Amino acid sequence: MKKEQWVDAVIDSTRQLAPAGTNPFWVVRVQQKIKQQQETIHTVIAAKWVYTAAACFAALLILNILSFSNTAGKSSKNNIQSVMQQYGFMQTDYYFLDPSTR
Amino acid sequence: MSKLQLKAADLGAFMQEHQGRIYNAALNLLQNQQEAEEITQDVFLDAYNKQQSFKGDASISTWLYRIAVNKCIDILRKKQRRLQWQQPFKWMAGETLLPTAATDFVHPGIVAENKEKAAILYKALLHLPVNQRTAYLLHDTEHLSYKEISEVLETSIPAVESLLFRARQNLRKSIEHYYKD
Repeated sequence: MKKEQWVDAVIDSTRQLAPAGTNPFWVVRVQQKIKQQQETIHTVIAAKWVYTAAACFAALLILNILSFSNTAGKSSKNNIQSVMQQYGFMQTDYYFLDPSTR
Repeated sequence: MSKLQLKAADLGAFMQEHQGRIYNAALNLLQNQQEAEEITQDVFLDAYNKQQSFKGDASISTWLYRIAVNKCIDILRKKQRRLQWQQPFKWMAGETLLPTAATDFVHPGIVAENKEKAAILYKALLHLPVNQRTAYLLHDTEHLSYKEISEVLETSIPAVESLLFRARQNLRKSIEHYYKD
């Protein structure tokens, strides 16, 4: 019986609980956090412009690649031929070592 | 159905009205002053950011309690997980185990003559499952009705009754261990 009464007293110990005091500066802190969030939103808007610029550069790069691939086939062929000519590789004489096959 | 229209300038008055209850609920649940302060600020920040999600089907204070309780439960579960990982190492080191890291907590609003008993109650509360502890504290310290608790915990009224019944039963068993003849 004594034990049960003691348990009841323990359970009832929080019945008349006075509320713990709050800090008036919490409001300021929350308002500061909201302000920081709004500043972050502005940064996001600026980032959109960064992405737009990046997309423009990417488009220019793609156009460059496409135009290069259209002309690359021809020019590379010409370049190889000119280099071969310069070094005399176009003269097939060097490769016929057996005089009878001339 | 009334919607919440909260502006940053109105936040001061809004917080003054509700922060006491939210802080006390968080303090009772977490048994940690610093965490309770952080949770209280987070609750009002969330309330401001997610005010469109308030449909007006419950009261504003119930809605704020719901945000706070969810945040507290997240913290308590994280602590429990961390302790589960630490338990084998603590056991090897011969340390005593407690369900959460908080020890010897007493709510600052408790009258001096009840402090010793309240400390035992708070220790015993740590041994309750989180949902039982939440229901018990919302009912016995925050004095919310069954309907309000059911709205906060997003469950039915019979489920709240059952939670409270089991909480009281388990609490009595835990407290009995502290009894000295």
